[in-house]
Amino acid sequence: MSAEQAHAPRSVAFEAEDLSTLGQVGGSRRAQNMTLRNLRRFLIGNRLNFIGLCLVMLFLFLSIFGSAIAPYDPTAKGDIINAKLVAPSSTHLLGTDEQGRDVFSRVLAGARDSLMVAVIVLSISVVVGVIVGAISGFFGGWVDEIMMRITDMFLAFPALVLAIAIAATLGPSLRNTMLALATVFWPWYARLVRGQVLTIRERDYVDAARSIGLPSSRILSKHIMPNAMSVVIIQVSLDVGYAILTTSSLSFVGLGAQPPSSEWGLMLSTARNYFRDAWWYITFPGVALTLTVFAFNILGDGIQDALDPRSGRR
Amino acid sequence: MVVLFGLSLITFTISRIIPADPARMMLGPRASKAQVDRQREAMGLNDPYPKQYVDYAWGVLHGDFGKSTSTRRDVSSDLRRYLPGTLEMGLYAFIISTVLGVPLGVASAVKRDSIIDHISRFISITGLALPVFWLALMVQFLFYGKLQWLPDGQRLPNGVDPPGTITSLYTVDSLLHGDIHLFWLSVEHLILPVAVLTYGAIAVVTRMVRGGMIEVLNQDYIRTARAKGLGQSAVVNRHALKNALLPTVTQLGLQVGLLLSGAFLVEIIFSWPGIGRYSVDAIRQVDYNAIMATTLIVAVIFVLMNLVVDILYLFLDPRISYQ
Repeated sequence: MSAEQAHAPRSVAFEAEDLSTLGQVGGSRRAQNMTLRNLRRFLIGNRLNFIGLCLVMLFLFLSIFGSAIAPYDPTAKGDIINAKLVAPSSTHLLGTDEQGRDVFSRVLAGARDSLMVAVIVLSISVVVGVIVGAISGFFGGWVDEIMMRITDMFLAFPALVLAIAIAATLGPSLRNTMLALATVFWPWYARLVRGQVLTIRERDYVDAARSIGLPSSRILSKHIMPNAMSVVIIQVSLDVGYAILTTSSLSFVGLGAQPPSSEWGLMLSTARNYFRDAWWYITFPGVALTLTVFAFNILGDGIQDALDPRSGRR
Repeated sequence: MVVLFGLSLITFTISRIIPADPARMMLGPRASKAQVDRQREAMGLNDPYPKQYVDYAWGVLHGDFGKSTSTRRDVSSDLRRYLPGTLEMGLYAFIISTVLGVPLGVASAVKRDSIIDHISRFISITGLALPVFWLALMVQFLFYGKLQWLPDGQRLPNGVDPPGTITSLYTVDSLLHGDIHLFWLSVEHLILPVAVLTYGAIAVVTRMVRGGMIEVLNQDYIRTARAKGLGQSAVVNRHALKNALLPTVTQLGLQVGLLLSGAFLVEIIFSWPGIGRYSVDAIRQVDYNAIMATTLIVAVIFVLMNLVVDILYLFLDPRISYQ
């Protein structure tokens, strides 16, 4: 997330529609067709995007059914005496951990925590960010000034460091980690939306809406926001991987998920103590985490390319 | 200035919304209520918030971050002890990632779809997806656990005295003292943590430079330059490079933030005596003064670096002027 993205260009397809229909995006079938065509090209034309999509699908599937299809109970204590830190074999595909639990089952079950955190954190950030950004950009003046100075304060911290400080003060738990991450993420969305609203509110159709006497709230919600959201959607798709990565970093530090959860960052944090004897234990949760973040990143990039023609196919 | 005020306000607010009572934390669970009350009074916790903030800010401005409850020292003296470790690691990672990342990005933009382009794209995709703490764990497993080529962590082996303090950077100090053996020892300890930090940073730099360069190479004036018969190297070096690198300069400030965050995680794995590990230890001991001080210091470094970058930009780009 960088400052330049705050002024990211909007979809040309949407822009053409805006002008011809005075901002009523709802029925713009042409824009939808454009988007659909872009999406199709993005999936079939690019192997990397396709792989990304498949991996994301697999991840979504696992986060819903992971615990159910796991061969062993991911959280119940295993056979500590006989099955402790056993190397991968046909009974335990990815070996076992220090409590004799099946690493494969735990990795499968770990997907859920990551997904839950990403969804909740991004939802809170988007809602707060969009509200603040919209009000700030639309009304301008001192409201804008105050709100943007507040977001500046948050943006002045490196994200992870501030999240660690907040999560540490609230106390270690997954819920507090989500709060901390949302606190760190929302200012980026506020900035992004404000930039969008600032450009859109100067458009002719907004002037037209104002001239027929519509109230500000209606102009904002019906005419400006629908057009500002495409950029937000792109940003969300780019941030999912980052949210998952940051969560597991916090869990790794001991702040996020708590035992006996099998969140991947937490698993790695425990596995660290056995890194000399149990290579499988430090390897597989990391592989799962990397693949997931990788998948969401390339999918996000692909979506950005597809929805935003001006970003260029790099 | 405004930003610094904001930073201190945020850390102050965070340190005051904590559910636990700092006075109680300091005295332990067996202290009587009267003792805790006296401690609260002594710590100024019964004062109104604005007064508390002014006291806190006044202290911070004078380099006083309060006492650490876990190390029992002044937080400021702890910071002096641990900050150089982080700076040394971060500095090398910053230099190496810039020196390698910029040419790699340029080369991959100029020769698109060549081997070098594939390598650079592989690095930038994996570098962004690899969790830095996992990468650190894996290289530690490989180079220390299996191959035994490199030490597992810390800045120097146990029992080896650090060089006399001049800059507090062990590599520089040992050279200044003419102690080559100590220099190699500290370099050996730096290799793994710096490599891990650098990998993630290179990914960001390469991606940015490549993107910027491709955009510039598509501009009309580049076509003009080519049309008037300039060779590839003249077009790239004299026309494209300058314009492509300008925007990336602004990103260097952000890169500092990335490195500082990465250092927090890398330091834990390599038992590196830096502020990241200090702060994580502080978290485990619920030592709020230390947590807030490190957060504030990191943010100040981050802000200052961005300020430096802005000023640098002013010199590099004659079109920009801040009145």
